[in-house]
Amino acid sequence: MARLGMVIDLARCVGCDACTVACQTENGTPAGIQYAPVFRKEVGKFPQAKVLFLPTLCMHCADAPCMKACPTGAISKREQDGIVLVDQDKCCGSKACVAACPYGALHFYDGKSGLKKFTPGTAQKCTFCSHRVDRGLDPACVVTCPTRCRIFGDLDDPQSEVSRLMRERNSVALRPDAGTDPSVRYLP
Amino acid sequence: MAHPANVFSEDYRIGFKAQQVWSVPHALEFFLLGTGAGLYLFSTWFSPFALGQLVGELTVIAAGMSLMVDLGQPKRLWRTFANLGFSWISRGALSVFVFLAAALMGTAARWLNLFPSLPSFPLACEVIASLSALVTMLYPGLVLSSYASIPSWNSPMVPLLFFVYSWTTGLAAEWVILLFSGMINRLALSLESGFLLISFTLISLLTHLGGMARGSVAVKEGFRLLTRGSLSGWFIGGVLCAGLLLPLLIIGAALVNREINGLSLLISAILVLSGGFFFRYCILKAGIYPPLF
Repeated sequence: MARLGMVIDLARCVGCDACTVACQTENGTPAGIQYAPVFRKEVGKFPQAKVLFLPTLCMHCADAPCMKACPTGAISKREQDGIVLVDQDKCCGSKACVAACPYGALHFYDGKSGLKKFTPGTAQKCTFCSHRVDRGLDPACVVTCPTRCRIFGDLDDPQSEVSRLMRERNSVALRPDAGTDPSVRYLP
Repeated sequence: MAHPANVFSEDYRIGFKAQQVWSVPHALEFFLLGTGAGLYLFSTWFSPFALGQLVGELTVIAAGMSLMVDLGQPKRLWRTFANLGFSWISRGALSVFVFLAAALMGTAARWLNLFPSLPSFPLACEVIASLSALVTMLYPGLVLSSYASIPSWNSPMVPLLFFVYSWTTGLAAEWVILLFSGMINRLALSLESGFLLISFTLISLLTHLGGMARGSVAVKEGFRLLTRGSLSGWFIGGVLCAGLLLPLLIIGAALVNREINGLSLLISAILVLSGGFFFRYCILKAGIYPPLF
């Protein structure tokens, strides 16, 4: 059994938003819902000011708080690779998962966009492009990134590139206080 | 020309984020759940009367309706029992269901004498309903405190506060019903006990605030919102002053003068009830996510 995950090299990210757009194109997400937004932070003061970019997505946590919060059991983790998915046919739209996620990775789709692909009144989130992964492909955000700052692979395989980078570059998790053991790690 | 302070949209800025998904409908649901369950307990064990029990049950039904209005897929409400192992919402939904079933049967059996051949049936229903009422009063706080994502909710004081507030607003609801039904002589608790209950609520709330003032950065941000920020009017004015201090003054004055008129008691009750709603609203809106990075 694998544990698919991602390492994001913050030193390489230039904040081009290509991952955000690729994700929207691949998944056809409704207006206002982005599975992979890039956040910004201004650091320092002129003339030493700079901007930090933080690409995000669902962290596909090993101890996913959204799964625990969901009253209908609509959120589950795939046994074969640890990808956390929302079953739109079971979700009752309580928004409990949206509030429980420390990363703001879950979104409530109100149906105003009229997209038939998504069930109105349910939670939506990044799937790690599971439809691509099932065909042996990497997620759209990974293949699109022009600086190769996103690396995708098996966290449980010590020989994988993601495991090696996590070991060698002292990767960090976002919101470690939330105790979620995320499958997305960052290289500072 | 001044340098723009914010070159990025707030949506994409790394910083504190207030939770947006739970607002008035959930505050109303939590308020009605606690008040209805508290009213049922007072009307069952302290000063038994059918109208109080019935209004308590109807209040909890209204809470369920409030939740249904806010659900994205109301037809799937039945699925909310599916994650009893982990989700406090599931457990709470079950407690509400058991409460309503047992309480409605108990009230009907006792006051309409439906099962004369089973004299202990109403009592059995009331015991089951009361146990589930206690869970119903506690579970909204447990839902919030189970969320490690929002540190100001993730505190053992939150369930305690929701539990205490349920008793307080349940008592205030009982005062209103007794006043309007002309049964003021049947107060479940003496005014002294009511005074002590409101005082305990105030002390619990101040203790929680003290903890927030010494908490992590996100908790402190929630504290700032409540005391000096956008929620301060609702919280200091509605929850602390109007919802707790003013009723304490009115009831305290009545205790000193050894008499209280119906209007003063009604005003106190309405103030406590409105404060109870604003308390739930403010706690929900002061839920702040710490910066991601």
